[in-house]
Amino acid sequence: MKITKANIEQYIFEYHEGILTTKESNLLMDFIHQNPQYESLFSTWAMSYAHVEQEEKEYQVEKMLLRNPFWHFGKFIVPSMLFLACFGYFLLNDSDLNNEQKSIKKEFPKTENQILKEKNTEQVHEYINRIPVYENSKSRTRITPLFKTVNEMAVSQNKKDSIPYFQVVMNENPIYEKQNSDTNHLIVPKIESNSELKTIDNRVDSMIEKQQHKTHKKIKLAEKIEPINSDF
Amino acid sequence: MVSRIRKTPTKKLPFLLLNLFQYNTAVKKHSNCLCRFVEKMTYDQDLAKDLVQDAFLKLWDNRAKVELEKSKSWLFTTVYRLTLHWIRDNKKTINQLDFIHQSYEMDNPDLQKILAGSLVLLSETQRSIVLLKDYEGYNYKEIGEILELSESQVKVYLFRARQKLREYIVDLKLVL
Repeated sequence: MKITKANIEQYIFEYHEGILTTKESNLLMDFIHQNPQYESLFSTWAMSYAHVEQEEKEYQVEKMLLRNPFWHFGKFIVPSMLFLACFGYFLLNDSDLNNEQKSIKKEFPKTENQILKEKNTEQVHEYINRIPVYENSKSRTRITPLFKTVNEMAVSQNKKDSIPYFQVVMNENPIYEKQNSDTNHLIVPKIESNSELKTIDNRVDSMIEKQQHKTHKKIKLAEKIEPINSDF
Repeated sequence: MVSRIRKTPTKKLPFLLLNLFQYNTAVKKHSNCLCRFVEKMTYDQDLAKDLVQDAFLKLWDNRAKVELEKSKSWLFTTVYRLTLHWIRDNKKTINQLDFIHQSYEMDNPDLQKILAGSLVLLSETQRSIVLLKDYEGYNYKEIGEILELSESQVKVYLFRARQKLREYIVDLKLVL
């Protein structure tokens, strides 16, 4: 394509942009040498290119825009340092332990207290299930065994603690039977003989037998039993 | 039969996206040039700082979407849009900015600074193209991506902008 007056500006622009090939740029330079009136045009085009100033302005926006990680915040410096120190100490100690020590640590035998505790809790649960519940269908009272909490009983090795206390509770929905039946009922769950149970307290079995024996005589209880002591 | 290949959406890998440290490096690298770009567009240094701050806030909000390599062009695009919005909202036109331009020119009689001041004569698109080309050194393709224009459009805009600048310089020479 020939360089003419119409497209000379386009060529000069492309020359300054660096798009022209060497052949095209040579052609342009020849054309300008042949037509020196375009030299000023060529130089003014060169002046239209802005250059970055040598001394660039510092806008000082960085401080506003930078985001610090959480451990750089003033509030968290002390706790984060403490956390890191503790974590590092834990890691170091943990790495010092040999594998054998670790395995020993894992298979550490239970203490006597722990074994006793476990046994006692099992026995106490069995015992609770076997406690009879007294009910008076006509009266509004109900006698229920009240235990200390299972844990307390389990912890205390004294077997006397396992003796139940009885509490009188108001029956919300009393069952009124026939007028003639003034007898009290003793609901006794089936008792399975268990030799292990005797290990807790031999008196328990004897108590149950006595209670069973008493029920055959149809003992009349007062219709309203009002406990004197609230902790009865 | 013409078979069309459907482009499957590619998942961006997490290590390519911006994290806190990369965001901070982006701030250190690009905040100054972004401020300069906006200042040349609006002739207001404080406004430039505000707009750049907005752009970086947006970058932080969208750090899960922006890729590390494209963070600079993304920032320039957002800043350009924010500047255009501000110019439209405040109804600042070339004539209104002329006063600012004159005062800018009087204080700085250097040719390069006159040229920087004469950017007021250009439209927003032309001005931003000149700034991106001369100050930031982007090529046509990158400018096109930032301003959402084709390469040929960028070339035409730039040619017209330079023509205007050249004429302005010639006029100044004649006056002086």
